[in-house]
Amino acid sequence: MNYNWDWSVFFKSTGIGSEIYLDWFITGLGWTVALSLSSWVIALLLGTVLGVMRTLPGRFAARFATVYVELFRNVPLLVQLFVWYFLVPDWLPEKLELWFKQDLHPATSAFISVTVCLGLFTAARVCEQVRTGIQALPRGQAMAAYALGLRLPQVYRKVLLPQAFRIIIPPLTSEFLNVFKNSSVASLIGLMELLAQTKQTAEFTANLFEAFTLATVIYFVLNMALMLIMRGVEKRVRVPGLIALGGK
Amino acid sequence: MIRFNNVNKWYGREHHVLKNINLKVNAGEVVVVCGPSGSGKSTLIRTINQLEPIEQGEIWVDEVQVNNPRTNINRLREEVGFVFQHFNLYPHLSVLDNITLAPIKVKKLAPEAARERALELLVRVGLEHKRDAYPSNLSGGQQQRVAIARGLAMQPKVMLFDEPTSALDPEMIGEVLQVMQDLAKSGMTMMVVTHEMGFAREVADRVIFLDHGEILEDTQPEWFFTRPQHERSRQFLRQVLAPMHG
Amino acid sequence: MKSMLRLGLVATALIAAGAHAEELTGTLKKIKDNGVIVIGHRDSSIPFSYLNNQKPIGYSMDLADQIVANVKKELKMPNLQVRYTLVTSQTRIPLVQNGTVDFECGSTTNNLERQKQVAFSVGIFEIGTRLLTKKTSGVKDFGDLSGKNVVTTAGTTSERLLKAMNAEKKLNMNIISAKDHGESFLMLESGRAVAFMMDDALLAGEMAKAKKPDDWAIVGKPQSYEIYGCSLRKDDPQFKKVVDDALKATFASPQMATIYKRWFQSPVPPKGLNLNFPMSQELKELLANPTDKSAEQM
Ligand SMILES: Nc1ncnc2c1ncn2[C@@H]1O[C@H](COP(=O)(O)OP(=O)(O)OP(=O)(O)O)[C@@H](O)[C@H]1O
Ligand SMILES: [Mg+2]
Repeated sequence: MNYNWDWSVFFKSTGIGSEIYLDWFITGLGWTVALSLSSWVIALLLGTVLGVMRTLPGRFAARFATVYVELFRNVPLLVQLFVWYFLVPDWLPEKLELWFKQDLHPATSAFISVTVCLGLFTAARVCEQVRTGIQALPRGQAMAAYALGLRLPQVYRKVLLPQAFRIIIPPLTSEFLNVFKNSSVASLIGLMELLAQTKQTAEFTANLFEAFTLATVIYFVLNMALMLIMRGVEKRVRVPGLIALGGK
Repeated sequence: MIRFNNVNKWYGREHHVLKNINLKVNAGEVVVVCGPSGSGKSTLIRTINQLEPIEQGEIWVDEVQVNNPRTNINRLREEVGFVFQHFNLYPHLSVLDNITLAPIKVKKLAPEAARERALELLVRVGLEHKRDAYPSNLSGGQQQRVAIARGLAMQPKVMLFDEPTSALDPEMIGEVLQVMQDLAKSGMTMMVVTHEMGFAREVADRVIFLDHGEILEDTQPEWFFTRPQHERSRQFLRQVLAPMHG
Repeated sequence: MKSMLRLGLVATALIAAGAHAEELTGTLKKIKDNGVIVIGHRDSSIPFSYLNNQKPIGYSMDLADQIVANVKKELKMPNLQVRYTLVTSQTRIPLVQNGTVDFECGSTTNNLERQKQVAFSVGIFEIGTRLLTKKTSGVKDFGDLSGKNVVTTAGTTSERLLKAMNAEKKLNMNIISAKDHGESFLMLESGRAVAFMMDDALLAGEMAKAKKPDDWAIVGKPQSYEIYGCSLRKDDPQFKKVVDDALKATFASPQMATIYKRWFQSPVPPKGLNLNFPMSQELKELLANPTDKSAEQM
């Protein structure tokens, strides 16, 4: 294949101000990390609440959480993003709608939409992990806690969730990594995260392979770093006798 | 202290597990409950702190009606200690934290005070040197002694035991029974589901024999062992005592 | 004696063939050997190259047909098989380079960066980058955009120009880079942006698709001109000559006007929309003086 490799392309000017192409990658990485982390916070909080709801004795809470999971897990992410970005703002009161569409910086409104979308989508997946974790615990754990007079919230906070989280760290790690991959949907609504910046660099320079190679390396390093962090977390909170559930 | 008035319980529609139970346990009494597997012993003892609800009748602990919807069931549970067959210690907490969790969270005891009380109890069950260990590093007998200490830390009026020694290797049964015997001597009201007939004979004030959800015998240990009233209790005694003769 | 004669005949035939044409190399040899020519096309570059009922059609595809005809003639292979392969803006260059497709005709801009990777035929179209906006928006030219939200399609020259203009003239525009032209137009239609900067021919295509085409207008002085070309493998003068000759001959013939009219001034499939996009002065000049240079080189 007669391809012309040119690794110096990243240091060439983009023709916009004094930017070089490497700057685009850095900006893209910034967006990817910011998006993923904020979505993950939403997913973890909401997913935990929903996961707990699925294990509660009450019918209504469990039913609600089940419907939520079915809905958010089965509708494709792209469709959800479309809804959050193009439809939901139209349902807002007129003033708010105009503010969201025109006064907010487009990157900000896109960021909000993607974060909400990805957060709620991932919450459904986290919910299932949390539920699995809680249900994997022996029934006697909750019973012993209730027998001592602990209230339901205390039983979950002090006894069930700390154990459930420890055993689901591996599957949660892979969900966490998925958030980073899924954050690339942001490029569809014009938020220039890492993948979008890569494609753009490839388009502008025609140095497709260099651009995608660099992106691969960045994603790989990012993945490794996250994996090491999660490994560290797992090690720090490890207690003898609790065995983690297998990863995906 | 504990009273059952005409208590009936079903699992689902069909399965009538507790049939017309009438029973009284006085303060300071030690009552052993025995009976064949599946006769409803665990169910019976769990109804006392509402780990299992009942459909008919009344259960009272002191002046509190357990099965009254207006009763604060958590309050009641603070007063009734429960020891499980499988210990159910919290594996993610140290021995000390296992014991202090409920006093701090439920009784709102200051952590320091809770710790002091826990240490005293650990001395009492002979495990003060294990206070920082995790449950999985303890033997079964040690775990059950910690579980007893955990129950006692709430300073309950009654202690309930559901087959506390049946998950243990034989050489560890003694240490647990010893702790329970000391507890009985200290005047604790106790209801104990067990097949340890030695314990029943030596420590219990009364023995209750349960079969198919019915109380067939409710009598002093000597009477139970020497003159059981029902054919089924005789059969049961032959079975549980057989290995001792063998 | 008989065998001697046969040998002589064969030798004469060989010499004759050699004298007739120089030896085939590169793409032409590959096409001849395989008996098939592979054309890269796009799926939604209306009206240049897009799929309609699974078949690639469009202005650029009509020109590709002319190229194929010339290849057949050159190789004396009237029954040469033609195969179509879908390419995207990301795959088109590598697929040409690695020989998956023999040439690609779509809406590929000829520029210096790409010339390092592939060769271009003589230009087949020329666009200006302009603005699509609502007639009532009050936007008449690029100067009116300061402080406003403006959308363009990611990875296009328009995006680069818009960003550069924003930086240089401190216009304080908020620039949205949408995934594709359809998405850009959605941003415009849903009120997130007041204007959409893009190649004027493509803007005409988007406008024709709008619910009410009359509400929209293409405005502004073109910020740049771009020449589209078919892309082929570099350093293959034999094949390039066949391609360029075919195009030049077409440009010079009256057929060219028919092709243009068919795609830019008549209803086109799938919806029968009419772009109403008369031939620009720039394109007329390009067709009159074919060149394989990019606009920036002229
Ligand atoms: N949650 C439940 N739902 C339905 N049936 C149950 C449930 N728990 C227990 N049972 C059934 O009720 C009966 C009494 O159970 P229980 O556990 O009280 O017996 P037990 O006397 O403690 O037996 P063991 O000596 O085996 O512990 C058994 O037949 C059991 O299968
Ligand atoms: Mg039992």
